[in-house]
Amino acid sequence: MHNLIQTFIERKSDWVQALIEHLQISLLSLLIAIVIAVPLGMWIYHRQKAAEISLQISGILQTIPSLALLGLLIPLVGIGVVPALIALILYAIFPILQGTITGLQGIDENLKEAGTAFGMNRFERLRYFELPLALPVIVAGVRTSAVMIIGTATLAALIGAGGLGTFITLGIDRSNQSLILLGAISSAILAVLVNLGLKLIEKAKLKTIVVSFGVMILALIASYLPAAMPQLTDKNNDTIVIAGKLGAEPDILINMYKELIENDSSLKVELKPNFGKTDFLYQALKSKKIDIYPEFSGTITSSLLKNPPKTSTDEATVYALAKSKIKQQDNLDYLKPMKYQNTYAIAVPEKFAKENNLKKISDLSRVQDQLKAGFSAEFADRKDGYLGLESKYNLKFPYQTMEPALRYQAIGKGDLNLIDVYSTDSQIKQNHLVVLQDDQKLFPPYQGAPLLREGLLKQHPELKKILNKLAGKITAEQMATMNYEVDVQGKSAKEVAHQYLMKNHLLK
Amino acid sequence: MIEFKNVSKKYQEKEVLKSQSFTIEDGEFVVLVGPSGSGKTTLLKMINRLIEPTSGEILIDKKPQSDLDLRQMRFEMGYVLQQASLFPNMTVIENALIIPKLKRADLTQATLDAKKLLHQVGLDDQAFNKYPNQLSGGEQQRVGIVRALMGNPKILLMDEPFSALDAITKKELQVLIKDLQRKLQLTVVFVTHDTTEALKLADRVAVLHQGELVQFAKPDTIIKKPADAFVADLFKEEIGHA
Repeated sequence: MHNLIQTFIERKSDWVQALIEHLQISLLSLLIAIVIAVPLGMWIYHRQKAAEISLQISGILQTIPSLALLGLLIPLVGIGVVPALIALILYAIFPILQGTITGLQGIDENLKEAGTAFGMNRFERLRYFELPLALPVIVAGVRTSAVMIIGTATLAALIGAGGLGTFITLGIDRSNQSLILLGAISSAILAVLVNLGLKLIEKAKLKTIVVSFGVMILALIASYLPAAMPQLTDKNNDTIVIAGKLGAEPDILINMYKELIENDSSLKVELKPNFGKTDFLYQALKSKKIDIYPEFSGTITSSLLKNPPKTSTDEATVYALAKSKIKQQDNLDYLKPMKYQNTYAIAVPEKFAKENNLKKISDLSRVQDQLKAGFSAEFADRKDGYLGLESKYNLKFPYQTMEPALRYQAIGKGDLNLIDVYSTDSQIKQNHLVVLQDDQKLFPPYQGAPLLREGLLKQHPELKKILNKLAGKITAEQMATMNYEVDVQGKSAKEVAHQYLMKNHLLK
Repeated sequence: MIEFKNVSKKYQEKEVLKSQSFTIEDGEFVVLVGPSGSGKTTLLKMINRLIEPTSGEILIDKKPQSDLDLRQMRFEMGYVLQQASLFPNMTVIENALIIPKLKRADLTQATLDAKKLLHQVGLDDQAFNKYPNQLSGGEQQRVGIVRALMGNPKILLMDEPFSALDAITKKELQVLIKDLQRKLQLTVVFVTHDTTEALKLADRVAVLHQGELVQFAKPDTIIKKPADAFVADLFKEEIGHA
């Protein structure tokens, strides 16, 4: 509990930002869903068949798991706010449509007859008594949708749309319960408050409701204004925006970039840590929403290039290809790489390595019959994974496949003595493992370096020299240790980055 | 004047109203009476085109209905339903003002007129801002009558308006409606299944039986010279007292 409060205080500004994003996306999708569902309901409520079909369709949309729906939308509309909005809107339609139809169908036939007899047309009937009388039921439907949207909007974080879910995903990634709770409790409280607020409106008159929604719309528009006027507000040309992927390692790296840049120049740096997954940052860099982010050479060649070049295991070759081709394709500048590689690796317990003098992967041929191996499903399946161990190293041994997180648990307990890892995972040190050298060069190179947006170097050529200070620095061991300090020991990435720069005399 | 010329109504295979012709004169209080299913409500609803005839023609003041603007026509025909059917989301005064609102009339004057009428039907100022569910059945029906009269109609259509009320309130409202009709010189077409009420209120009674108008005459004539056994049987109590 104390930890939770502590975490909240530390992350207050992030939390406010996340709350605003969450409200924006929830309110916007709710309003659009209302604009779609209520008129639709008014149009078809007296047509039995049409009403049934519409309810069936919108009901089916509801049953599609939210994550699946997001996944289906991404290839169509990309990542970020748009697919999140679309998914939330599709979900919200059914309860509102249902409420509208039920509410309008529940109106006494005699009233309709009276209205008609007085000369009213359809719109007048709706306006003077049908809608006002149906309103409590409609608002109840809106209420259901609102609560549902606020809960489901936590998933928006997974596709880079922000919101309170970012705390949850971050917490899961860092195994930090306080962060998870912060995100979960905040959105739960938000849902409860919205539910209560709408309940109050439910009993109000039509005019009050229309005014309330008008106010909400204005507030929504107002919240977007700061973002729409970057040129006018404090975002001037001297601020560099550096983003990092989800995880401790990128967080540490961007803090290093920030300190180096601010120390060696008059530029200011704004950090956006845990900005999302690779594709999201790449798109943001291309559209100049961010200026720099750290990227792996292997990721560029295998995921970002439209025509991926032939795979190579030579790190220099891969780096050169990544640099030249990303420049050619998107005009992005890729600066010099650091020393470490964050690629697949094989790890064994320290003791086991010492006992059997295991230093390289080839050494494993001596102890094949003693191996109790566990791999992630992806590694087991890949040509540059276990299959490569068979073909390149002539190793053949039985293994189990399991969830990535469980491998570490198992090897820590002694159930396994060989697993696949990412070479700078903090859990390596945590579980007293050593990484075996890839002497036959099976695993593809993944060197890290800063990737810059188009035109940045032209504007600020000094960045090249400053960031290249990290060229050839940071070994895999050093990176793994720093990850350990952040993930396990709970130190801040900023502190860890600073200490590294100090120790290695990289600050003037 | 309301004229029915060979008007019939058929639903699928069922003939609810067989070809009927008759005339209702201006200023007459006509009561349509008969057992349920006799076609009296159908006939009433054809006057303001809530129901369209299957065949035949209806003329309002010598003009065919189809030639008249429907909305205008309805503004000029008051309509009172059985359960009053006041709009539950509106107050008494708002219910009363509905037709002036639809007509885009000047609401200041209309409000004065409405209040005057409401007084006339026996409601005091305290009732004006009440909602229908706060009124008794009798009070609701009084508002219903005022609502129907706000368009200054020449014709007032009433579909069993007092059937759901207790005997005392019924009597009061019967007196009220006769009084209003005389003062405002309305043509009233009134549907009921209550034969006593029919004889009491009508200038002429139209007796309906299985879709046919079997007798259309003054109450006196109905009692003294019933057209057939059915009419005699329907009014046997009243005939017996005569």
